[in-house]
This record gives sequence, C-alpha cells and structure tokens, in this order.
Amino acid sequence: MLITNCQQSFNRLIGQYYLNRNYNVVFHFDNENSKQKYETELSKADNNTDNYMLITNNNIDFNSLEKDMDIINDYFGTIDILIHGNEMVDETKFFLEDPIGLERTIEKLFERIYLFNRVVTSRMIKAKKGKVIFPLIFDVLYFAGYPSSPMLNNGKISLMKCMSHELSAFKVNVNAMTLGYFDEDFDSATKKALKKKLEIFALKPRLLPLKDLIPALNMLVEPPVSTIGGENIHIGAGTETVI
Amino acid sequence: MLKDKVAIVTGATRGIGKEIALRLASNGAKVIGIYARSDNAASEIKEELNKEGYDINFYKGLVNDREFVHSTIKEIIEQYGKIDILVNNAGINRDNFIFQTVEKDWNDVFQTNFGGTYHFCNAVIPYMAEQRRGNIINMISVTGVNGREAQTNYGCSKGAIVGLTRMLSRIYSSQGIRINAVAPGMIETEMLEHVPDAKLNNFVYHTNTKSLGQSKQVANTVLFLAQDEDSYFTNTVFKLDGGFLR
Repeated sequence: MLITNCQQSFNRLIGQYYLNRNYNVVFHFDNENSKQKYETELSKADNNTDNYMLITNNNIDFNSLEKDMDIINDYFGTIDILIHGNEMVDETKFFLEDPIGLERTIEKLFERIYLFNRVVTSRMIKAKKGKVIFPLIFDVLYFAGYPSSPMLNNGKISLMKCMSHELSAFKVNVNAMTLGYFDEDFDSATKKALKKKLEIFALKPRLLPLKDLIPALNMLVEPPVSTIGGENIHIGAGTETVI
Repeated sequence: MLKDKVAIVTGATRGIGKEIALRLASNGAKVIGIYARSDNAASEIKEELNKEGYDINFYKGLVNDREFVHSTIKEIIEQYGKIDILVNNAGINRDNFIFQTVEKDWNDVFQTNFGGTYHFCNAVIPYMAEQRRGNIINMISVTGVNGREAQTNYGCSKGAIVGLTRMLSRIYSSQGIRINAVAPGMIETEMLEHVPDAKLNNFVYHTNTKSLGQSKQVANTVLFLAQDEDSYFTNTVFKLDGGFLR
C-alpha cells in the first residue's frame, strides 16, 4: 500500500492503521524533515521495520516517481493499493489571502496526483489488479467552520469517475470516500455549539475523532465484492456531495 | 433582455462559445469575446453582428495567461465601466488513458480549462463585488459530472471548476454575485468530429431525448441564467444533457 502526502498527519494515521493490520505500507513524503520525524516516531513504537518504508521526494516528476516505484517494487513488489493522501488545504482561507498562490497550488497538487496515478496504474494494469482510493473531507463542512477543499474534492471526484471508467477494464477499482463531520479535540462548549450547527445534516450528530473514521476505508481496501468502482462513499449521516 | 449589460465570453469564436456570444449580443448585451487563435473567425463574427446593430468586440489571448486576463479585464472596465456577466467557456481536450497521458497534455488541459476559468473569476470578482452585482457562468461538461474514459485530464479540470464554483459561491453569493455551472452533454460541434460513430450512437442510446444537443440549446440556458438577476439560483450545476444516463 502506497500512501502519498504523508507530511500530513491524517495520512500517516491511515498508514499506521494499515500497518497494524499487517499491510506493507509505503509512506511517501514531500519533505525530508517530516519523514525523519516520523521515522523516529515509528522506530520508537514497536513496529516491525520489515513492513514499512518511508520515501521522500521533494521534486516530484515523472522520472523521479518512476525511480520511487522501482525502489518500492524491489522491496515489496507491485503496489496493490494507492491511497492519495489528503492535502488538507483550506482553500477559502488561501483564496482570500493569496488567490494567485492558490491557483498555482491547485494545479501543482493535481499534477502530482496525475503523476502518481500514471506511474502506479501503469504497473497495476499489467498486474490486472489494484485499488486507487481518494480519502476526502466533506467540504460542505465549510459552513460549520471546518477547513474545506472544494476544488481538490470535486476535481478528485471527477478524476476518480473517469479513472474508474477506464481502469475497471484492467480490474483496477477506483473510488473515493468522503469523511463527514468529526471531532478535532474541541472543548465541550465548542462541541455543543458545533453539534447544533451540524444538525442540518442529522439530528444529534456524533463527532468521532478523524482517526476513528479511518477504518471506514476498509470498505474500499477490503471490499466485500470485487466490482466496486466509481463510488464516492460518504461517512456521516446526512452528508452527500451533490453535483 | 440584457440591454446595456456587459458580458464577457471566453472561447467565443466557435462552437458553444460563439453561439453564447451571439445569443447574449442579440438580446442587447455588450459582448466582449475572448479568443486564442482564430483572427478570421473573430473578424467575421464582429462584422456580421455589428452590421445587425449588435455590440460585440474581441480580445485575443490565452485564458491561462494570468497577466493577459488581468490586463484585459482592466481595459474592459476602463472602456465599459462595469462587467455584469462572465461566461467561462474556453476549453480544450487532449484525450488519452491516464497511464498514457503525457505531462504536457495533462498540464495544457488543466491550465487552460481550470486555470483560465480561475484567472477570469479572480480578475472579475473584485469589480463585481464592488458593484454588489454580477453573474458568473462556468461551462463544465457531463464528463466532469459522470466521468468518461480517456478524459481524466479534461474531467478532472471540469470537476475542479465545479469546486471553484462551490467555493466562490459560498463566499460571494451573499454579496450579490451569482455563480453557476452548466454541464452540457454531447453537443453537436466540431469537438465531436474525432468521436467514433459507435461511441456517439451509444451515447445517444443512453440519452432520454435520443438526440445530440445543439449549441443553441446551451446558449438558451446561459441566457436564462444571465438575464435572471433576481434569481435564487446559485452554486448549481445545470445538467444540459437530454437526460443522459437517468
């Protein structure tokens, strides 16, 4: 399993969860500092070092990613599951502060997603198996004050559907999972007020920490049937990405 | 209907964009068309419409050139004093499977479709916010809604435009700026020339109307959105697809 954007803690939690389920996990970082910090953290914990690999690539392009894939292939074999780690960008805040920077960032991030897809799926189609998963955070939570990424989310959902159309022919399943409202260590007063706002989705919404929503990904990582593709599964009553 | 309204239409010299420009101009708007290459087409459209007493002018440049976009908007404001309607229509496609798509094709499509739309929105919105009035219509595609094989770059760029529509609408709808998207299905334009007949027939078979759409139908939808200033419509993706796959 390859997880991208592991400089974000949420994506490392996904990797940790699957490490605990005895998957071989590759944590991919875009900066060495984050990688080294996490390497130290992992080595302190009682993990089997044979089951994981940490890679930094701070200049992601086609050739460098091909090299990364060769390294992974030599160690673990073909990648079975690609998880596009969430970039956790607060687009509205970014737009209001630096609209030009946001446009460049969105284009850069989608170029990275494309490059990962290209190098990984070109191997998956030869193996005629694989899964590509996009974990998203429900961007309508913007109204409740959560950071939101509507451009990344909707771009990924459309990309996921297009990929699913073409890759199902090679037995590669491509899906997204949109995680709804969650607890970010809110104090009880904040949580109470937030729950009131979130009642627009469902009465008395239960706010679990984001890490407790991660097991939901298993619906896509270990699907009950092999033909689930092109889905954007929502976690959280009343949440739905409407296009 | 649109008397004295100032409207910008990108990709205005052919296909759907040309039809939208004609429709807005013939309904009284002062139209500024943006085009990338076709000087002859721009001159012909301008001459033809000016003869009929309609107001249309053109600017030549690339929508993904941020400096061109911002300087053009500034010039338009200096000349016309305001911008009421922006139709982001310019778009390209370079179709291929994701594992065969080269970086240039990914970036050209994404930067033209998404980047171009973003630049125009970003350049126009400060003026619309000052007016506390404005109307932005972003053209996406049924591919951005439903997905389609061999169009990952195109579909992704159109999905990102849906997200841009969402974000801007959340920020600016309360300030009098309505932002919507229109998702045409298979429309009979020159863009369909490379689509194999079998594929087109299958598409039509899965469409309730059993027909391809026409540019005029898309222009009608844009006119409806453009004229209806009191409308409650915002942050909506209008699917103009003849009931495709429903």
